[in-house]
Formats: sequence, structure tokens, C-alpha cells
Amino acid sequence: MKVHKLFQTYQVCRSLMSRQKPPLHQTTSSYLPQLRYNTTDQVRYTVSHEAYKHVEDILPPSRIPQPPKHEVYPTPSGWVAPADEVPDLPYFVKRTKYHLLPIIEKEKPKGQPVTVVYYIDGDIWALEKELKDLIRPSLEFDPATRVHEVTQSIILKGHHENVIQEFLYEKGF
Amino acid sequence: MVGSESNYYGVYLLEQGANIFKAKLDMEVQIVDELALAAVEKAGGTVSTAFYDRRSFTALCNPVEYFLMGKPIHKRLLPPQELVTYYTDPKVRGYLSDPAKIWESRNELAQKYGYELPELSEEQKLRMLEGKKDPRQVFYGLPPGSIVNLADETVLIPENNYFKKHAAM
Repeated sequence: MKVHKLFQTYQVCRSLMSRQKPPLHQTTSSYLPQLRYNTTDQVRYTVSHEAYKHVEDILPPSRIPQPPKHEVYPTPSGWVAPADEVPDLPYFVKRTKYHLLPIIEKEKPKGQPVTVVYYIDGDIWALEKELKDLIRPSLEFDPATRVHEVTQSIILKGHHENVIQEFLYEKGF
Repeated sequence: MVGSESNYYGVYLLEQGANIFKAKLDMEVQIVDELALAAVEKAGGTVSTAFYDRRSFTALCNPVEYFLMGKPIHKRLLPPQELVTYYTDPKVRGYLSDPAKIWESRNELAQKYGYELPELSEEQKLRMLEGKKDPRQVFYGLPPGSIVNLADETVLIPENNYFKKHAAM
């Protein structure tokens, strides 16, 4: 029994050693299409710098560009550029990296609408008072706001993005 | 725009905002609404609809990822049977339709919606006649079969006959 097993393993080893493998220079690379005809001539190719210009046109920019200077504001989409001079106010609202105002309309669980104004520097409470007075006419009840000093944001109950946007554009932020 | 994961991938130009559209743009989308077409042409732009198979669409959405794979650029597929009638229709400015008929349908659309067709520039007219991209080309100016070398900023275009035959557009 043992001798028979030894003989089997010896047979397997011998077949593995003698297995025919194709020489390295004839292996086909994985990227080439499955060709029906066998070719051993080298792949001739040209290196083109002119064609790369078409590649550069499609490559995405690595940084967000500065928006161009428009003659009239607001632009057809409603965007207004920030003022050249810093407004003389106790607070400052920075633009997002996409050059937009930092206002977000969210929905909390159970469908509660909420507006968040963030990137606020300086006296947040002064801005909160002004925003409360801004949204009071459109509300039935007292405006509910929350100041979060650590994240430099004001959270308002309800969707008020349009009104706040107009207000901040007017101030020059 | 719907991503390439969905069955209905591609850009669909809707008619929302047609009353305030003023920009002069030349664009290539997958499907277009009639009113949207009229809005763009009234502003002095051109629209054309083209078919991209899922692989080509993914390649166009993220060309850097596609070039980094290091594979030769593939040939764009022609539309399937169900969509051939759509892309050969001049009313939708299909890329496989007759350019002369596109000119006629531009005038018809202007008459239907009651606006004056503005003059097109020479470049725009050429593009309408010849088409910007070949129907089998994924990227403009890059023939299928070529490999893009992003590190050296070059494009390797093969010369052998069997490659040229395989990549013939």
C-alpha cells in the first residue's frame, strides 16, 4: 500500500516537472484583444504629444476656479458676488469653497424643516437677533433659533433659505 | 443626469426653465425635450443627441480612472435596435441623422414655437454638418486603440496593420 502511494506521488511529480510551458517571449499580454492570428512582430507605435492636448481638455481641474467678473449682479442663476470691501458689522459670514452662501435647508427626523447658517465669525448673537427679526413676519409663532458657538452656526426652525440669502447678499457677504 | 449604475443612464435635457433660458451653448446629450431644444436654439446654441454605451459613458464620467487602467481606448458601440430610430431622427438632432434634414427641422421648430432663428457661427455650422465626434469614438481627438500615458503626458498610437484594422472607425 505504502509503496503504491509513493509510486503515485512520484508519477505526479514527474508529470509536473516535464509539463510543457510556453517560452516567456511568446506569452500574450492581458490587455491585447483576442487575436485569431498569431503574430510575433513587435508592436510599432508612435508617441504623440499633439494628441495629448485632447486629453488635457477632458481632465478635470484639481482646484475650484475663481468665478469670472460679471457686469451685472445677480447673474441669470441668481448668484451675487461677495463685496470687495469687508462689511462694517460685528459679525462676518464666510463663503463656502464653491463661492456660495453657507446656508443649508435640512429635514430633521419626523420631517421637521430646519435651516442652518454656518461659517459665522465674530458676534454670532448679533446675527441671530437680526435673523429672528427677519423671519418673524412670515411665522405664526415666535421664531425658534439655536446658536451653536463651537460649530459657529445658527439653526433656525423652518425653511428660510431664500429670505436669509437675500439678507446676506444685501449686507455684502 | 442619471449615473451609469441605472438602466436609464445619460443626460436628459428637460424643458423646466425654458422661459428664462438665455445662454448660448453647444451641447451633446442623450435625450432632449422639444421645448428644451427650441429654448437652446432660440438662444443661438446647438444641441445634438448621441448614444454612449455604459462602458463609454463611465469612461467619460471619469476619464482619469479610465486612462489609469492602461488599456487601449475601446470603440464606442452603436445604439441598440430599439434606439436606432431615435438617433436617426432629425427632429431630435440625432447624431446618425441626415445633416440636411436637421437644418429643415430647425426651421420647422422655429415656426412651430414662433421665434426667429439666430445666425450660427461658421464653427457651429461645420460641426452640424460633419459632427464633432465620430460615432465610434469615445473621446474627441483620441482614436480607439491608442493608450494615454498620463505620467509622460503623451498618447501612444499603434502603427501595426492589425491594430489599425481593429480600431478602424
